[in-house]
Amino acid sequence: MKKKRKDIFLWIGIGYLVALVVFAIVGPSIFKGTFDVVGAPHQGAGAPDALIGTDNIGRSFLPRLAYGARISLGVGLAVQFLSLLVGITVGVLGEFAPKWISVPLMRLTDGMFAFPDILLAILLIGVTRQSWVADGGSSGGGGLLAVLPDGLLPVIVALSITAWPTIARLTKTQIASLKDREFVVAARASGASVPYIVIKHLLPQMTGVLLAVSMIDLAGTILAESTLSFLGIGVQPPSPSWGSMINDARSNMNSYPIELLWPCLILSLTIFALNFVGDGLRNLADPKSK
Amino acid sequence: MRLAKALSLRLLFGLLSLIFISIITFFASSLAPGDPARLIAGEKANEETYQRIRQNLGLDKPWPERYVLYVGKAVQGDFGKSYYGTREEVKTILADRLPVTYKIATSAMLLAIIIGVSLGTVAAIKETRVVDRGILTLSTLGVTIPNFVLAPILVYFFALKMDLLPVTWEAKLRAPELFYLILPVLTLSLRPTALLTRLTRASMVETLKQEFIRTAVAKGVPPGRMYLRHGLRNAILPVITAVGTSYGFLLTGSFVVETAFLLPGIGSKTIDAIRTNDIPVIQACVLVTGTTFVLINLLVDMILPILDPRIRESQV
Repeated sequence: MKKKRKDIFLWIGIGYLVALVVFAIVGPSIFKGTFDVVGAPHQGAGAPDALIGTDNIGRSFLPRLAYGARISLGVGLAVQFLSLLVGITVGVLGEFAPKWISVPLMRLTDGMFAFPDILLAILLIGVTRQSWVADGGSSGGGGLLAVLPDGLLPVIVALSITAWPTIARLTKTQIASLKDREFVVAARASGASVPYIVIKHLLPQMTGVLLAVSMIDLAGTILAESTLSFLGIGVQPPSPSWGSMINDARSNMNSYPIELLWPCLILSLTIFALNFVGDGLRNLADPKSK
Repeated sequence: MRLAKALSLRLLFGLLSLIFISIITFFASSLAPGDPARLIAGEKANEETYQRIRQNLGLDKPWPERYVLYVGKAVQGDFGKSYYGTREEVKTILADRLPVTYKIATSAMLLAIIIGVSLGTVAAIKETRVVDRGILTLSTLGVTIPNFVLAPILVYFFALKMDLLPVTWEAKLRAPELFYLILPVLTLSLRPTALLTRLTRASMVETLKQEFIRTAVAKGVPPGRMYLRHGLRNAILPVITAVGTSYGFLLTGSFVVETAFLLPGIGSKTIDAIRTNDIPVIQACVLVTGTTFVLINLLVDMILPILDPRIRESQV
């Protein structure tokens, strides 16, 4: 009975996330109205070219929310990818590398936990902000960087630097508990190299746990990105982010409270869904844990 | 003896954390674009003035020496001057701003402990009943709803619709300060309340299954005494550890809450400083916030062995 309920939440979460990804990919182009051009008159819900209305300066909600979904998911996935890459590497080195590498690395990992939550990300964005604001989105960078919305790259870098230590610790403890198991000892005895054992034997064992933790971390990253954008130091206008939409909506919530509803709703639902999926996957990966 | 060793190890770790934070904040400032001496001197300053300011800031010295100087000054409360405006001492800014942040963060923590531990205990006693399910659902909501979503919602209902409380802080307060702090503290406390509720519940459920609880029931200890003296007293320990870690969320949460309610605290100051690129202020605010977090956790870990003889015995 109880197990079934958990599964239902997992599937609801997965369903929502799939819908969100589709919304993020096709949303900005299929919904009418602009998400970044200001000056059009305010429109209520049900207007012909803005299904759920526009904000007070005429930017349509649906494409804005969809674009915000792109930003949130993009930042989230990029940060998770980078922090998994760094975290797994550090965790593996922490367990297998010679002491003069592993000890400083693990002490560095411990040290990172001295900064609470996203304080380090705020510091990094804070001190480097001028170089990316002054640069502008279109002029600086060049190539791929030029097409990224203003402020996106610093957010990704700062949040990745904040996120990897959790993965590194998890990887290290997981490997420590796995590496004396029979199948690893057997592989060693038959002359397998350490990289081979890590890639062929250890990492596949850990995918479930890592995936579950990444899902929950993804929720944290999306929340952090929205927080930074809400504070005005994340993704910069005209690119809409859910966080900056909430901040915009606050200033005129007396006249248009509905403006506040949409970004709050979509952000909260996304975080819920990711937590459901994360918990569900963790239960599948490690049935003993609660 | 073993306890003394464990405690001094913990102290050492705390000290290392502080050094780590100071190194990061020190080097972070060198990531900032531009030359601080040039910034202060202004574009038109002559070479002599520029060199003098460089020397005053200690920028002509090699970095290890600058780091030692930086820490030495920071310990004495000297964080330099703000780049802009009246070039106020960062020390004065901190003295103005820190009390507000500590006030709301500590109030939120106390509120979270009182409500969280009570709700968690009730949920554990009524495990799997409707009350328990309700509390669990609420606390799941509480953990996932971001504080910057909750803040405008609370303002909308309590300040705009019902007109019970002021919307934001004002330069001239029209009511006692308390009224201005109610919504910020409520917003800030939601997440730690929810976390502590879940943790207390989990720990209490585990404790109530122990043999000594069965013994207590068998020998006829009244339920109230059994739950509080026998149950909660044992279950509370992991909750106390979580108080320390939750304080971190309160400190970063205060960035959001102070910005949302325009409170004159250290969080909103940091964000202002980031907008104007006022590096010394950013550096000092982050350093102080991080240090507070480390010290609170240190304090919590020092208190634990005093409260629990089992920890005292087991620590080697």
